This record gives sequence, structure tokens and C-alpha cells, in this order.
Amino acid sequence: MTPARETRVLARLAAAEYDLTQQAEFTRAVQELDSALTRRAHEDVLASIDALEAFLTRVGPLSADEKDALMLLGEQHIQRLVGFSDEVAQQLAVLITTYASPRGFTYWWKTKAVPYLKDDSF
Amino acid sequence: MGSELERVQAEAARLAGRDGRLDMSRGGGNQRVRAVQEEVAARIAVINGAHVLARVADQVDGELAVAIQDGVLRRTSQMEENEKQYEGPLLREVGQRATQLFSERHLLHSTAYYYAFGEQATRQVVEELSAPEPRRRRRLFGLGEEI
Repeated sequence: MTPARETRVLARLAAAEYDLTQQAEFTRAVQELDSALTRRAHEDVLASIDALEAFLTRVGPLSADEKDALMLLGEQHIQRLVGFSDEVAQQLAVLITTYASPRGFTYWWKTKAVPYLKDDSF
Repeated sequence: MGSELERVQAEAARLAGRDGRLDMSRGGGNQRVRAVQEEVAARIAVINGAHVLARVADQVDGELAVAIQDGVLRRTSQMEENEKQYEGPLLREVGQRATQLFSERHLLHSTAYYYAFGEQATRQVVEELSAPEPRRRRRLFGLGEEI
């Protein structure tokens, strides 16, 4: 194979490797973001219930019907937050499939300079 | 991604020599033979590259799977710890339900991200598997044969 073609193959491989690694890094970052969002939503739910519990202590004991209604309300509230979190996750998954890695100096170095320097056919 | 990896590895094993290296030395012969050899060498180089790429993809894939699993476990235990800070009876019931739902969703989201990555990575490997188009050389006035 000619040296020029050899270098082209090395460069193409380096570019694919670079893209794959960047893609994995991005996916990891998205997962961390999801973790932070989930944790925040969960904390908010717990804090809301805590505040509600403090209020109910002042109001007095609830009847069985009132307690059932309150539990239903709590469940609906959690489901709404979970639904919102699902919508965000769907968009983030789309973002992963359409992500294009940045083409900065590192890209140039890894995909152009290094393959050229590695190619011992020159 | 698994099937693509197997395909590349099988193809590489089929074409590898005794030393395990995919190579084709350029010999003499007429112009047509040399052109065919060049073409074959180019295709071998692509398969060679795809083989390396598949290995990298496999490694990156494994690292990501471990990182995602760790992230999910860490987050779930943090949520459970957080829940223990509250002691009210109402919170115990609704809070536990919230922790369970959020943990499940977080696991599902992480799995979806992992699949999305796999989809993209597979596309990348498949693109690299495609051999280059054969080079066509024409001579003036159509006197030379098309290769």
C-alpha cells in the first residue's frame, strides 16, 4: 500500500477512536446530569412531604378518608415529577445519538499529527 | 454492538496470516495485477483498522457500563440515606414510594443512555467496516482499459 493511503487509514482510525471515546465521555456526563436531576427531584419530594407533615401536626389528626386522599395526592405529585424526569431523559438520549465530538486542537493532534508521526513508511 | 464485533473479529481471523497480522505484500506483475493488489491491500487495511476500532469500542463500552452501574448504585444509596433523615409516619409511606420510583426511573434512564451510546458506536464501527470504492483509471481517448 502506498504511504499516503497508509496514513489516510491511520488517520481515519484515529478519528473513529477519538469520536468513540468522546461519545463515551459525553454519555457518562449525561448520566451524571441525570443523577443530579433525580437526586434534586427526590430531595424536593421529601422536603415537601416533611413540610406537609409539620403542617398536619398543627392541624390535628386526619380521618381515614382524609388520609387516603392525602396519600393519593402524594402519589400523583410523585408521578408528575417522575413523568417530567422521563421527558428530560428522552431528550437527553436523543442528544447522545446526535452528539458530535468537538474538533479542536486535541482532535487535530490525535487524528492528523500522531498518525503522520507514527507512519514509519516515510 | 456484540454482533458487529463478532463480524469484524471473524473477518480479521479469516484474513490473518500465520503471524496473526493482516498484510499483503506488493509484488511485481502487470498494471492490472498491481491495481488489484492495491485494492485488496486497501480493503485489508480497512478490516485491520476496523478490528482495532472494534477492540477500542469494546473497551470503551465496558468502561461506560461499569461507570453507569456505579452511578446508579451510588445515587440509589444516597436517596435511601436521605430518606432516613426524616422520621414522620406520612413521610415513611410516601417517601419510601418516592425513593423506589426515582431509583427505578434512574436505572431505566441510565440504561436508555447506555443503549443510545451503543447505537451510535455501532453506527461508527459499521461505517469503518465499509471498504473504499475501487479506483478507476482512464487513459486518454479510451485506449487504456478501465480498472
